[in-house]
Amino acid sequence: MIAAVSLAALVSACSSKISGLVGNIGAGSSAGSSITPGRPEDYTGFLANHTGQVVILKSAVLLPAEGFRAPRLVHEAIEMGRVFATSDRDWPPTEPRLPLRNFAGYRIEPGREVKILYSVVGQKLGEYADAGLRVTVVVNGSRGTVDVISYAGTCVVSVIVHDCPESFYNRVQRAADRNT
Amino acid sequence: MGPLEKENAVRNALALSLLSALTGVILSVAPSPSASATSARQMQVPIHLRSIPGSGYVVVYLEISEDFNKLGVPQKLEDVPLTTIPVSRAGMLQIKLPVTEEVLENTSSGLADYTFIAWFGNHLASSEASVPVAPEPGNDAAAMRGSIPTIMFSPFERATSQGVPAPKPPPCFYNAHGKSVEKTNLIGQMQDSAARGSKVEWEYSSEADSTFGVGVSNNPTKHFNESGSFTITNSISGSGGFTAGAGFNRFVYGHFYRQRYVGTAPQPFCSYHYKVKFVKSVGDSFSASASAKHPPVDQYGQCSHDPNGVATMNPHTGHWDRDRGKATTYSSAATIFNLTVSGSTGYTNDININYTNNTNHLEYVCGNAQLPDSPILWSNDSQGN
Repeated sequence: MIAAVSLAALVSACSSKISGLVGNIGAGSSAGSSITPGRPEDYTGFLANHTGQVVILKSAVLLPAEGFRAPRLVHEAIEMGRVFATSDRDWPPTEPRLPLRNFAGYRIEPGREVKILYSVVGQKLGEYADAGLRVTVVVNGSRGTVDVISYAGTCVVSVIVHDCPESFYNRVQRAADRNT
Repeated sequence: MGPLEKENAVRNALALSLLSALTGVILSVAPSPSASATSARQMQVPIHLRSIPGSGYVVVYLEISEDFNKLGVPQKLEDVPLTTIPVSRAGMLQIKLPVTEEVLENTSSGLADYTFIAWFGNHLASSEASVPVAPEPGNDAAAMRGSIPTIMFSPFERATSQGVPAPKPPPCFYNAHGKSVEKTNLIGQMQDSAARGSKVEWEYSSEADSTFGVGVSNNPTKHFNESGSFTITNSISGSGGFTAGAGFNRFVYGHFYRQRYVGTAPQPFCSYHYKVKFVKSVGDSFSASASAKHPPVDQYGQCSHDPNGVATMNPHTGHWDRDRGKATTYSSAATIFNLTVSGSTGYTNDININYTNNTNHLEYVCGNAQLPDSPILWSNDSQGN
């Protein structure tokens, strides 16, 4: 146990990551869908709080997926209840209508896991992808970050029913597998 | 170092600390009967010894696979004694496995193969287990999710010797006995919504680990008992997957090589004369035939009633490719002559189930445990179809 504690402390000391915040729950998986230019496409990442402290969410930036053009992050929120969107459209999402809470200032109690819904847009036709969110948090008065891994392939098309080729989603999935 | 590489480095270090915390690893220099087994640390694991009166000993061995043939099947097994642990009774117990340099040098994907012989007077029982001793991604998943299995021993049988010699027994040696046999084993199941336009894909990529029961007997073809399990850590470069359409609900199988081993006589302090295990995956996967027995349907009736969470996929092109971080364990996954053994595949996150919704309405995915990390997934539309 001493080894565990000291290693965890080492991890904290070597980076701005917060020990006990687990953002890789969705690692290895990916989501994706097609969307028209400028219209929001929504995905979900998972964050568990095992710090033993209340964690307060402050802000988020998009994690780029290596080898892909990054979309632009436009919204974040906390999904309440059992239902979450692997892929959804518009903001706030309309199908299904999800009970949402504000992201900034949301308090994650110790031992709880939250679902973070985030929305991206691509302005031009083509393939975009991201690896999730880097979330800035405050724990016990200290500021730090946690990467919430959520690989998502956003395919910007002229008409929704046109999908990107399967090879695009396969490339996104391979990127997700590499970073498991 | 990019952000994700850094994240991986951090995650690996964190995995080590979590692995340590969850498995009870402690820093110690534990005395060991084996001079070669200078223990750097120990790992606590649960064991189950079947009913027998009195007290006894559990001898812990490291199994080293050697002399691989062209199929990649080891032709020799050497069980090197690591330590002897006194136990006060049978039943459910915790023991501490030594994780020595020799153990770490003989891992595959971070898994070390331990074998065990329990001695209670002149009765013995055996077991084996592939234990995650190094923080590989799959071990991280297995350890963090509490998936280190209880090490189940075979029934006690009368031994030819009068018990384990002090201070340590000699090593045990086994040679391949006969050729490897290719068998079809159960590795998973997959189901899709009945809505036209939905699609589901089984993606079985490289390095998907499979764990199957080991059979032991003193007869080459009869009277086998299950004696723990062995994990096959693949390094297959290809992938074996397939796609199915609406209404699909079938079990998924793969091919594995089964090998029988025989102890090199005389070995009075070793366990059963024959052991049979699945030692290599062919790397393919395929669905059961349409007429074969189907997996049970969603136990909650439909996803909207599932208390474990519901994932939604938007109409027209919604995709969700979910890995199986926690494998499904099947009690009847494979057979060893007359013995049916359990099995599970997928701890290393390399079996993905990919749902695509090309219908014009919302589709749901749910499972038999909390999403997103559910061993079994089901899908249906808002009407439960």
